[in-house]
Amino acid sequence: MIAKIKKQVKNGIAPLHLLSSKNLTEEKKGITKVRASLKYETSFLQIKPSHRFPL
Amino acid sequence: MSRLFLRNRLCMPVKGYNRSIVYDLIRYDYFFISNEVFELINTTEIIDFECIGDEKNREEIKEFLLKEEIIFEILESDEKFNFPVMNPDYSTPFLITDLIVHVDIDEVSIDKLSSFTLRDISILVDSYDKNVLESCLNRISMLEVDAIFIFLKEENVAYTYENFEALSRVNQLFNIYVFNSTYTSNLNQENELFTVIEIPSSFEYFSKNLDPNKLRINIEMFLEASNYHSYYHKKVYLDMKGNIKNGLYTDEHHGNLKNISVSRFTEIIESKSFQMLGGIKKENTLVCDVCEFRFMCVDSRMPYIANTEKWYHTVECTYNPYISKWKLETDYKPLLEVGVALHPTSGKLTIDYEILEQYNNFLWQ
Repeated sequence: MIAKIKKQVKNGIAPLHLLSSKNLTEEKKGITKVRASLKYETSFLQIKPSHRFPL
Repeated sequence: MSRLFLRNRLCMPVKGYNRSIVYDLIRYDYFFISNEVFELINTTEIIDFECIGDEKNREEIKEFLLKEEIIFEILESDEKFNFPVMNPDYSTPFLITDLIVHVDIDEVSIDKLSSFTLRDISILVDSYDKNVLESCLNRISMLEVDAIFIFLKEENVAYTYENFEALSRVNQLFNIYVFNSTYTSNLNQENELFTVIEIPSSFEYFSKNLDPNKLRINIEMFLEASNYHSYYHKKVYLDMKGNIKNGLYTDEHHGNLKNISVSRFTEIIESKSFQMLGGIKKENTLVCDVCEFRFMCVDSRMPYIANTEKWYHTVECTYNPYISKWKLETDYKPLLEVGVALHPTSGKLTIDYEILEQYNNFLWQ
């Protein structure tokens, strides 16, 4: 069964390079950067990225 | 004595037609699992691994779930009471979560919006003009808004950091999206206060279709998508004339912000007719109801309803959950070609299981 799962992940999700957690992490990094840069000014505020795609 | 395992309360399994996904809500990650494993872990009780007859299989699955911290071990069965189940309800204090405006929005409208606390504002820019964009952004940043996103619709433009440098002053600016265009910067990315995201398609295509870039995994998104329509819920689009709409591609408008008072605007967005689309659940929408991505996707297509209880779309999604393939993948086929037929007049879905199974066997066996 695990072999089936692995096959699904390996072969089934071609856009994994787009969709993988790595990519999400990249975007998170962008957000983290902004948050870090604002840390001094707005440390008392909770600056959050959008929980959903905003458009 | 057999070992006892519980599922992590923030790892939510979501079943699709072909396969399932575990949403790791706290780490913004996800894992594909088979529907058999979904049935195994879709419980808040102690997981019964003994139902898997084959020992090798059982241990492999256990190892995978433990390694990814989807499950964890407890010593006594009573310990399960220490891990309460997540409340599935969703509420937000925002009257408007996402507001979409055009860059040339007038000052009177912005003044009216100053009465609201907004989560996000997206600014649509047809043609990039540095001064117009800066002026708009400066005015919008004075609103009570958490995050601002800019969408530059013009294509084939080579943007540089200098184009956006002045925008760095606006703390709420998170992302700038450019379409079929390039962005270069000599600055170390760590020093940029916003992220420019290059989308390799047109704005129209990107905004109309589901794209992996739009998927989000987090608790709030999961709960909102479970209870409401994750695109239309608490969204307001002000078109170029100031008409109040539910989304970018809805025809109906609910008045014009330029001509009404703030209290009337509030009445409109609180009205049943405006909130109708936001209340549609993916669980009640044909095709989406068997999609494993349904609680992480933001779907801008207009839903319709026929004689049945189920909603449907007239435009097909870029992901086919019956074969687990995205449109940009090889071997993708639209619904009809794999035996899945949607009949808009009756609002019913029919499946030719023989054709579907044959194609899934070809893809996955």
